[in-house]
Amino acid sequence: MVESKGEKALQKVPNGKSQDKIWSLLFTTILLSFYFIYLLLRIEPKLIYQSQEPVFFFDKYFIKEFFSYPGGANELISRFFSQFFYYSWTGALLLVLVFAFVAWNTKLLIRSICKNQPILYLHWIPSAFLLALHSNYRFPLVLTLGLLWALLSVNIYIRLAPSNSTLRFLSYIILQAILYYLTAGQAFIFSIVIILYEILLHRRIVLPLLYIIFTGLFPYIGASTLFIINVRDAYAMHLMSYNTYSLTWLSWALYAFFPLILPIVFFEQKCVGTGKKNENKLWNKFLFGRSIPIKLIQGSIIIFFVVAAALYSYDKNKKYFFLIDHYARFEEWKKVLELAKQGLPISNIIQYQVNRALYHCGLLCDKMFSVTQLFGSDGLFMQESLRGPFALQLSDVFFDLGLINTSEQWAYEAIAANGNTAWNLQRLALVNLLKEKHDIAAKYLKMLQKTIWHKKWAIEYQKYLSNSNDFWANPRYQYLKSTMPETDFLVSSTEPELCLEELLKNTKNKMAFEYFMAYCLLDGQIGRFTKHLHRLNYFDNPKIPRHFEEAMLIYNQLTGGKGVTLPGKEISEETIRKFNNFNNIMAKHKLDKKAAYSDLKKYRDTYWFYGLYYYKPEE
Amino acid sequence: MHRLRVFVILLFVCIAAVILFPGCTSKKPNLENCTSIERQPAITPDYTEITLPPNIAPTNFIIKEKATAYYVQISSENGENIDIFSRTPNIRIPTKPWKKLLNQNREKSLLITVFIKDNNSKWGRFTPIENEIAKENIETHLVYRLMKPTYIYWDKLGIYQRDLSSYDERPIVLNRTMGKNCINCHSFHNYNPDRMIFHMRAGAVGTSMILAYDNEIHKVDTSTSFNHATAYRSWHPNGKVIAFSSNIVRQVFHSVGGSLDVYDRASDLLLYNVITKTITTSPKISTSERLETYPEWSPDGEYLYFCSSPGLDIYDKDEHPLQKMKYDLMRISYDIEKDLWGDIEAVLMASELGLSVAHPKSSPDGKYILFCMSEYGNFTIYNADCDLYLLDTKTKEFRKTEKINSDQTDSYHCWSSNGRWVVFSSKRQDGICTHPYFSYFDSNGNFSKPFLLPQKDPEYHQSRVIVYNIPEFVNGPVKIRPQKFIKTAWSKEIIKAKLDPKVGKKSDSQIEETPYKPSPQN
Repeated sequence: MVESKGEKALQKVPNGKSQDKIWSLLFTTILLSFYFIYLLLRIEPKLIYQSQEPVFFFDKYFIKEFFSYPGGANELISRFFSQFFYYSWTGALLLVLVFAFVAWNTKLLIRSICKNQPILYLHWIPSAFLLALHSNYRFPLVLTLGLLWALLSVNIYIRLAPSNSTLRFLSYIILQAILYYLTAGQAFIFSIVIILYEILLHRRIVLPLLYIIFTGLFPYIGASTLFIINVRDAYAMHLMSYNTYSLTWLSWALYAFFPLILPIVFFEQKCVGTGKKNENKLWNKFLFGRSIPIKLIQGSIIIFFVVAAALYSYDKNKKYFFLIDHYARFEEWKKVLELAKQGLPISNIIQYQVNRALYHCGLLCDKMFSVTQLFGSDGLFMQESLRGPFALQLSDVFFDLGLINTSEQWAYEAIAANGNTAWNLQRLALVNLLKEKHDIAAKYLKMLQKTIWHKKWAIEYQKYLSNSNDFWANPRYQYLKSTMPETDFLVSSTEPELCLEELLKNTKNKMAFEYFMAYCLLDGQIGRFTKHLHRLNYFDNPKIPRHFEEAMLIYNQLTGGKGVTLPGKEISEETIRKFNNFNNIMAKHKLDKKAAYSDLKKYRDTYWFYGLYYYKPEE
Repeated sequence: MHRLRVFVILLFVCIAAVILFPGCTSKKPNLENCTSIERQPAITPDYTEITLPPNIAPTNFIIKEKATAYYVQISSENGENIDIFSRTPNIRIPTKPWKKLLNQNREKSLLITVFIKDNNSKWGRFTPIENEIAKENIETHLVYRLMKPTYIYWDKLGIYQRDLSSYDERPIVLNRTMGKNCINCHSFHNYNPDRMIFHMRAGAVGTSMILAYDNEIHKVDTSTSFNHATAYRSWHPNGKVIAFSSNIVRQVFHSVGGSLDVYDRASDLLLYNVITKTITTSPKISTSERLETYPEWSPDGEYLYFCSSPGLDIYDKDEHPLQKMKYDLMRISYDIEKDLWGDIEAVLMASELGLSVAHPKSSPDGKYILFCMSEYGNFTIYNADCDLYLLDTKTKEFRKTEKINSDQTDSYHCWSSNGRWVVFSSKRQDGICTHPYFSYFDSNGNFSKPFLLPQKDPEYHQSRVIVYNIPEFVNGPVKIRPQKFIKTAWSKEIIKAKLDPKVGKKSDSQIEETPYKPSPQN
């Protein structure tokens, strides 16, 4: 057999293969280490958990449900593995392993179509896409695992399908059926790759045509017979979208990589094989060369691609959003405030969580305006349109306020939005323990016992079902019990802040008082604020909080000195001095607030500044 | 290699052991010298002192007694005893012998004797549990909606059918296949599984009614210039007319006690003719001055029973009217051939007793009406004080059906076609989840102690937070395939109900705003 020039050019020096292996291993180690460190430190997979709250129970009824529709099995597997996002390091490790498996399968695929892989590290390109995709905290693992199963099936088919056409066809049908059941629409990735493979490498026409027909029929037959599913969903499910996540161009580019690599590599090989291309041509050397400098260049290009993907996809604002939410979930209030100091993206949810943190750190009435209150009173209860998607966060504030029924309602809304997530169930278990409804609390605790990370908590709380004295011995629950309303009033689902006025009738409910006063300030209701100012004496405040002083001074000014006073408490001289300065600056600029802005900036942490520049009265 | 082989063999032996020797077997232990425990064992669900239909699935249960082994003997006058030996307290009764035993012993007692083995390997025998087996069968199937407890947003829900003689539960429709809409108010004509309706609201497929009528399925838009989409329903015995209510619903949330209440801001009654596809009504049952809801035909089709309360305009504007809203039970005669309405008659003036009526349901012989009564309103499922009451249609006397009520909500109910069984929704288990309970209604007008829908896994109801809505009996399975419902739901072919020319456009009709919303993640 006469070897072409091209093939000769690609002949390797002795030990070339083992050298390639060493290089490959080195590259893999560097890349995977980079992925792990990047994911761990930059992306922080615990924030993926925060964003998605994946639900998984070791429960036969829960598991059974996923086997009733195509794609359910992969969804179940993904939900299980997504639990590992609970900790950043386990999440990072999981993603690195998944990326490695995808790369390994890609390598197998490339090897099955060509002897010499163009670019030694070509198979790592999909992992760069995956890195970019998983940098989006909403991106579901199910789509990556679906791709992985599709690639695995491709390799099984290429390696094991018999050459006899009938048996080959049967192998395809069996694999396609299993894969469709496992991954739903993502099975089309397998079909496209195999169809191209048959056409390009085996020069078959009839078999691929049959494959096309059966691939098209499978979802239709499934939706008409086996599965209770809409025909459109039978084709599109898990391919175009997954729950609320719709595929972006990145996913489509990743999917396209596999069918595209086939003709590209195939024709490239053809060219090299027939000797049409000269081995001295630069691009040929670059693609197939295995000398150390070429390998370094090839590796650098892939690394560049990975870095570009990482830089492109990293969204600092989103990260901070979920980080704040994460700290708030774990009640790490100081961390919330530390982050807030760094300057945060404009978001009602962030504002809402920062205000909660301010309250829990005892700073709401003194430092609320240190943070720009762009959302006014919505910063305390969030805008109506956000209440559904962030229902558990809303449930949190009602829980803290002692309005347990409303907290329960929003926990149920959270279940409608995100399912029986561990945090939703935790809230409902606590709510029902506080309401002394032990039968239903027991159910939620039982469910939590079937989770991975909350089992211990559930076992600990289960003892309170038989001995509630221990539960009430906890100062937090004792306090909450003391703040819960005793007589019924109606809570508006659209204006939940209206309940504050009812809640502050309970003189132990400090949060209700501070939130109500903050609400009045943010909403510009100074009259209402002064009406309830005397309630400050119910709580252990040695002095008047700074923002209260600022509001009192404004009120005094507006009423021509007939303002409000608090017996036994004086407005501090410092605040009075600042207020006079503030007025002087305004007077200097003839009450032109635009002109006065730069001079008044030093008072931006005051209620006066908020009132002048951020308060938007309702029309 | 050898080790691997040994391992594989051991694995197979273990698997075979698990398959062949499950928790419950019929192995009879040596019960000689067993001590007598002079009380009945605690079991859950509570299947004690109940009356069972002869065709019900085995009432598997958990023995709430500590022991190292359990032995249960189920016996009656005729036929072979059922012996169950178990290492766990979870008792699963074999279906075939159970069915045989119950069938052979109609109108006889069923004894369940529980033995437990203590730490010293001594057996103790509890006083037997004595249940009754009724003469009359219960309907073969029960249809209900399954969902999670819901406030404003709903998520996944579906209408399911359960074979009562086994544990087989199958979906009829699932909202995840229909654009995650709300599906509700399923109903059957005369227990016939081939004639069914249910409503769809919001979601991708829009608001309409699905009507399965013998071999056809249609999507019907029942809204007209007079009314919004229809809601609560009752099929006329002739199967051609369905009485509906059309309600504008609102929610309120409480800070103490039960979290949620639902009330009607407006409601009227209408008739929809399935054949002529026409909506009609009478000012007598659709006045703006009153709220009319929950229509229910008498079994002879001559009367339409319904609940009625004054409109909201009469209440003081400063206070929420909810707790003052009291519904009375009314009826109106209707000549279906001549389309003639009679006069409204008061059947039960619950408001005069400070109470409010909902869900009147006539027994198949028309002698009784079983209904709900609570302190206020008509959305009884959220009223913990709601109980079931029985009214004698001849004497108009009524009484609380003490035997079937609990301290939690006991609400929506359905009679079996032979009038001997009722199924109703109760929250007695935990105050949140509604479950179907069955009770035998004897010829003297008395109910037996109710029992929970049996499940293969007796822990099933205790481990799931799920709500069973609107339990409805049917004579046989719904054979229409779910795929057919999906196709109809997505179909653009829709029958638009015509408004009877005699009925004018309602001046105060407003755009329906439902307080319920699809999941925000949809």
